[in-house]
Amino acid sequence: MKLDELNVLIVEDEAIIATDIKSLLRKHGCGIAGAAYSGSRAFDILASSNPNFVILDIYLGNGPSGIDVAEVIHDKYKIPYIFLTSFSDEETLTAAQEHGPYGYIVKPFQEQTLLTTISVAWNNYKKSKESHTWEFENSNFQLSNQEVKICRLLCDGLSYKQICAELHIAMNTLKFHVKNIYTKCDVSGRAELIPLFLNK
Amino acid sequence: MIYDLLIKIFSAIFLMFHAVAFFANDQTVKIDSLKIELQRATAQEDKATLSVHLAREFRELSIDSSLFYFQHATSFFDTSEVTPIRTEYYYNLAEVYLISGQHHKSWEALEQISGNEFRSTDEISKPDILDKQADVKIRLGEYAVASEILMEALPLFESGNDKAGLGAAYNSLGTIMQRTKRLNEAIEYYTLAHESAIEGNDLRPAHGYLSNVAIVHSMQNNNRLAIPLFKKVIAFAKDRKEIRTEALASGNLGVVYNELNELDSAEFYISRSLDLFQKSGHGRGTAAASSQLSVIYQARGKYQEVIDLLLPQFDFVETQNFSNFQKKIAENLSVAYRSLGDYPNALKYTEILGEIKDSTFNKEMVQAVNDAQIKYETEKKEAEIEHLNLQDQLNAERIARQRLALGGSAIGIGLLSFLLYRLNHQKKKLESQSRVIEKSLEEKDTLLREIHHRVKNNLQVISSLLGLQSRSLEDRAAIDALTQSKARVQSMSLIHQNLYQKDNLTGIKIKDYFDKLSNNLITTYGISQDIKINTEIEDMMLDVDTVVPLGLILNELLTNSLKYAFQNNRGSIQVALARNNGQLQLQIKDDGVGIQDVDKVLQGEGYGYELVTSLVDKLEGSIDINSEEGTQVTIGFSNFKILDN
Repeated sequence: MKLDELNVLIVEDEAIIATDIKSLLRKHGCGIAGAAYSGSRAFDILASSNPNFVILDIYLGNGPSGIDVAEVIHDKYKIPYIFLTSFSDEETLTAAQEHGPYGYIVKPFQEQTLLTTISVAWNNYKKSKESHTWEFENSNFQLSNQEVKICRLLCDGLSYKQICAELHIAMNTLKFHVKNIYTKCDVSGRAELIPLFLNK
Repeated sequence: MIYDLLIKIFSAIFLMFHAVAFFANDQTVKIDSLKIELQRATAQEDKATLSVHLAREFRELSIDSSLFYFQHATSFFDTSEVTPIRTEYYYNLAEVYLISGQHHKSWEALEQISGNEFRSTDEISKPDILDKQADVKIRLGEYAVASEILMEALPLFESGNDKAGLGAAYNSLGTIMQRTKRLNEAIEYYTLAHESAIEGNDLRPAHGYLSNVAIVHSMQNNNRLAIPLFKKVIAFAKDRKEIRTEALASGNLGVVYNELNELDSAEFYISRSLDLFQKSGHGRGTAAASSQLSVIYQARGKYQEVIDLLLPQFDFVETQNFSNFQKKIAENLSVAYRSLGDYPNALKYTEILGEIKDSTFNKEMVQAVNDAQIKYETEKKEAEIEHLNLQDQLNAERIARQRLALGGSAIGIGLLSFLLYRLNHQKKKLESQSRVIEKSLEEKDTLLREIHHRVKNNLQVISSLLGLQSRSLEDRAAIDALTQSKARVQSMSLIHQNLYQKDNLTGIKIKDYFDKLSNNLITTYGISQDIKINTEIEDMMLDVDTVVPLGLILNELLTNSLKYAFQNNRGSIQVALARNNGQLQLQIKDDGVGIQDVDKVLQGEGYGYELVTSLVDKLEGSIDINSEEGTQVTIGFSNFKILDN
């Protein structure tokens, strides 16, 4: 697993879990940009240590939440990130999808699962950065025209807000379509859509 | 005793009158001149602006007319274009809705200018809008949200050096503190409000804020502290010849002295208040002050003075249709006559009182509602209405800050609250109770989620501790041991992952759980793909207290098979779980190498069976191992609980 290209920021309010992840990643040759125990601290490290990947917990105590940080990462820094969280209720999951995470792991996690998810996320991200075209027409998923449009924007990494603005649709409408797209393609997140539609 | 009650009630009304309820006589003049200007105007922009100003002027007089002029204004400008007139329009519209109690409409109007899409005017800038939004939230009882909004507004007022605005914002914060019973902080904020307003030369509201400080002192039974403050307000009012401010403050001071049972001072200040109200032609203030004064006279046994005072009031009040005060006055007159031994007159007024109650009560109320067009909204948290009108006063303070007078509204509220209090007390109590229940259910929900989140987090912490330690070791056996421990923690964690998901609070779908468990173990031990696991698990929802021991048993037995049974890394494992004669039967079978010394194992030596046997014990079961062809472990247990769906 080629993780040595990575410089990871870990955002997790439990110090022991953060340390565990740090040591696990280091063992596999991964670079660590830093560990933040709060949203504000995360913003600091983002600005100062040049991470190129983030592992992000959703619940961060008082102050900015993981989802707030995700928005900033997506809009400002444009680096890939995955969520790591113990929240598995539907509401949180839906909210978490808004700013385009590249993966999502539920606590308690297995070491192998974490490493695999990071690896896959990084690869998807690199692929999406290469010049590419998307091919939706030949796929077997029977997506409607609107769904194809949305799919394209999802793969391009736009946040839900940006997609709504681009297509002039309401947030609820978008979420409804996204849900259908994921069901039709049998994926649980947009990062998994990328390999499906990439035209090599 | 009845006097005590009366005093309390009048105190309530009286304190409410603290509201900067100034009925500007020159209002109608202004309206007429605006109408003329509107007719004469030719430019669209001017017509729009004048319409909005007219609407604003009407708001104490007639909400209907006010709304009409707002509507009229929209024919002269485009509400979707971001312009100053749009800001003025929505801002004032929001204010009118707020006065008339249509809080949600008020909020909607403010939303139109709350983003960054608005053009500020000379009088209305972003913090002003925030301030108004906070107002709405305060009325709705959403104090936390209101606080947040005000916190946003404060720095904006400061950087714009808007001391008056700052004062108003601090005042609102004071209200919030007061409502949420943080009286000391309320005083701090009101004091800050006063200081800011003084700095900004916004003197009338400044003294209104000072009165609020005094009122809170009174609420804390520190009447002694309230007195100098009211005196200061009175001094200020005298200085500026603000008759009505002086009247109100004197009245309030009188009430305070009353509380302290210093009846001389009380009488002095309230009669002064009465004088001033009469001088300024403030009808309702006069009526209120008379009532209050009569109560004091009554307490001092000055019955004839009561009659001399109240008789002319009674007639006046009748013409004005203040039936609420009519009743009070009739009651007082009746009692006074009785005390003087004048029974015929006493009876006369008792009868009048009865008549008023019957005939005019309902009609009056409907009338009052239509006339005043103000709805009184109860605290969402408490049904104590006596002390609550300060909020209306404070809101009125703020409006006064912009040099607009809120005439009869505060008084109307006073009347209404009385009438509505009588009629709606029950209804509101019920409503607030159901709101309290709703809220506590929500809180319980949140708490439960919190707890589950913490449990999952803590289990992850334990897992992390084990992981950290194992990574620092070299010894294979030690690492193995820790890995096994980690796997056990994982199997418990998996249970919690599924708990509290939507519908099932205390149940786990055992089939799903087992799939997850086996996947986890395969990943943990890096089991080859050639080892197959087949399951025949009945589709049941088991109680968490059953799943925890069962999960650990499954963990041990499955781990054993996966790790030790297969020499060549290939084989199959069968897992079955079903109900059988009132028992739950678990069977794990593998086609591997089998166990050498079954008896030793059953005694709890080796392969984690110490754990297994004690868990089986807890589930009130028995365990059987057949090691002829591979290994077959059968456990039947009776201490389990299935949840029906």
